[in-house]
Amino acid sequence: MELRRIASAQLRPLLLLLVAAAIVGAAWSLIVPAWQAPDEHSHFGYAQTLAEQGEPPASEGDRRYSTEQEQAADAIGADQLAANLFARPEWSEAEYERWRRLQAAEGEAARADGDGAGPEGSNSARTNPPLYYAFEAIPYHAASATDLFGRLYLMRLWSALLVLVAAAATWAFVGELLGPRRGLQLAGAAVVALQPMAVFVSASINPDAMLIPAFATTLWLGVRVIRRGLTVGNGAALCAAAAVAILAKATGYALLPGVFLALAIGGYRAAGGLRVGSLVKRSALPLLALAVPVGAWLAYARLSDRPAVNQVGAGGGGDFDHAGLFSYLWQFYLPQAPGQMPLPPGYPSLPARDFWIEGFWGKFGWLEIVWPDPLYLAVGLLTAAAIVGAGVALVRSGLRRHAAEAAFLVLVALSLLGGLHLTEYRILADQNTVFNQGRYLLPLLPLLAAAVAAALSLAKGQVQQALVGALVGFLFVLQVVSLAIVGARFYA
Amino acid sequence: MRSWAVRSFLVVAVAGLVVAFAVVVGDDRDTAFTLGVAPGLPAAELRPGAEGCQTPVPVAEAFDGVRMQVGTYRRKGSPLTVSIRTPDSGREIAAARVPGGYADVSQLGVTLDSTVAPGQRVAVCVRNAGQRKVAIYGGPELANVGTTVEIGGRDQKTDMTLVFTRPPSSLLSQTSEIFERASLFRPVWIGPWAYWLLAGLILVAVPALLARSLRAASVEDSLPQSGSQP
Repeated sequence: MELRRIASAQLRPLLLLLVAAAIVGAAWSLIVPAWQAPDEHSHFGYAQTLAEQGEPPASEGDRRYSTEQEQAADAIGADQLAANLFARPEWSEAEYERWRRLQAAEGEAARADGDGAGPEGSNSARTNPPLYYAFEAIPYHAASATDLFGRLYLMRLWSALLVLVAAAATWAFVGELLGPRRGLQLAGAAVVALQPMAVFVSASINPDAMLIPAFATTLWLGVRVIRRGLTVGNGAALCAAAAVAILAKATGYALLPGVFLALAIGGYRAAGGLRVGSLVKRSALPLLALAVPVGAWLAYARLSDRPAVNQVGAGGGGDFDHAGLFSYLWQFYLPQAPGQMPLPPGYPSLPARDFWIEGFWGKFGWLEIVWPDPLYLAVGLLTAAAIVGAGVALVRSGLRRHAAEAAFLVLVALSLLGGLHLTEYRILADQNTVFNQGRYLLPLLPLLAAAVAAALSLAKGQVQQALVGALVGFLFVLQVVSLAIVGARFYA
Repeated sequence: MRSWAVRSFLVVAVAGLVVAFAVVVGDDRDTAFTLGVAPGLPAAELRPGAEGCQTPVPVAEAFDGVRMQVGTYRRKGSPLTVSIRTPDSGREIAAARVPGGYADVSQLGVTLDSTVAPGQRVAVCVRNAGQRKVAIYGGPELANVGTTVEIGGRDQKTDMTLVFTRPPSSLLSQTSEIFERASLFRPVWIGPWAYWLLAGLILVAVPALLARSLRAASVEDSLPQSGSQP
């Protein structure tokens, strides 16, 4: 009883934060018009196909979306509205009643006649693994008695719960890194729970929502395995978390190098030295938690002639151009140097700022809804201060002592970042188009949150408390401003 | 006694909300509704004396003005007349004149001589009353299904970029209307009340929860750490 009371008191800050975040998530779910989050129409089409037909979309089909989805999208002017600041969603009662009559006349067959793929596989989401969409099938079926909007918005509300899981895992992750320091844990969890882009994406229908908690859990368990030594239990949990990420979106494969490193270090520490036989024995069972579900998906995809991961070209089909890759990376992070071939016209002048700061923190709708510039400056400074502060905190606490955890975290970050850049470079070479989006970096949000907490640990006592409070206040204000801007864009 | 975390949270949150409130009060909006067409191409080229009509346009909200983008081919703009009519009988409901001399690719805001009531379909006609050619910007016809541009009775397969306006009012004063609009095309159990409730929760309950969370964390951090779990 006493232990329960203590545990409850220890978790109280987190629970209160999660209730606040749930309210904010519900607001995001309901304020954004249907299909006005990135690629939401594609993801809804996939989810509806899986829910109605019991299997994911094929490589190609005839009809990308169901009649029901197309009619509803037409009724609110979804395609016209996307990224078009001149447009507003349909807000005529008469049009709403017209749509209700139309969908009543169509009946339930109109839900199931889409294939989620479309001619020539025109639904870009069709290549995603099915886990997130299966997760979304739960609210879809729960609301099956309602109209399309009843199902879509319940799916959004359900998806928004994932950001709470991510925040709770980040709380544990920061606790594992910095010890049971509730103020710092709260700061880290709040960065995830109240980061506007993370909540916006999680409160839409998008598998990126599942990546954030999966990465947060993997980061937490990876550090735990490294610090406490590999056991069947913590190793299996780590591998299962990575499997969830992989089965949500191919981006999850970026976790594998880090997971293998964590298993190796944790195995080494548990065995008390480098014993290959012991390491293999200790890792084998946990790895099944990764290999079985991922293997099953790969086998199913192969047998049913589906792509298991997105297919990307191989750098123009010829030899890989390393100089070109270097030039691309340079211009992504730095101004163009003399003699470099410029990036295609679709690129902003400094992509790192546009994608990794502005797009990562807050660009809403189809990215057409932006903050005033000073807010981007503020979050850019916050991000930079967190990264520098975390580095200082790491050095002060003993770089050598924490080298293994640091190597694991850096490897996860570089694997994701490297994968995104390599993919974009290949797409550039093949199609000359932009690939990266700020939200693709959201799986690293728990890592940024830990960096924020580590940076805050440099301050002591009341100063640290004041900084934590100011951070949470700033995040709260960001949420209010973001919701107001989004509401005004669509309905004023 | 309040912790430093709660104090600093309250200072930042209140300061931020005050600034946000000031912006919302000062941000006047005049959009009644729009056809939602982005200005990507000349949707109606009007030679001297010619008239182009966007028709039929369902009137979702009352309006007393129209905003449009006009190209003048790098010369001074010709005077225009704007007329709102019934599509079938051609009866004029409201009208306005635009004096010439405006610049190329101008956003012209026109105030009509009377307010057009909602719930009807109208034709929005622009007549070139000058001596030089002008173009009303818009997009391909698919930009807005069910309405089109006609010149001399011929379908141009385009739509004009038309924004229908009303007297400007602050975002704050439009809150009720914003929530009504937001509750359309939602689950049937969602009404404007849900947005009022959420707004109240976000402005009152969320900061209260966050403040209590910070306070609980401060209390926990001030206790001895034995037996604590991450």
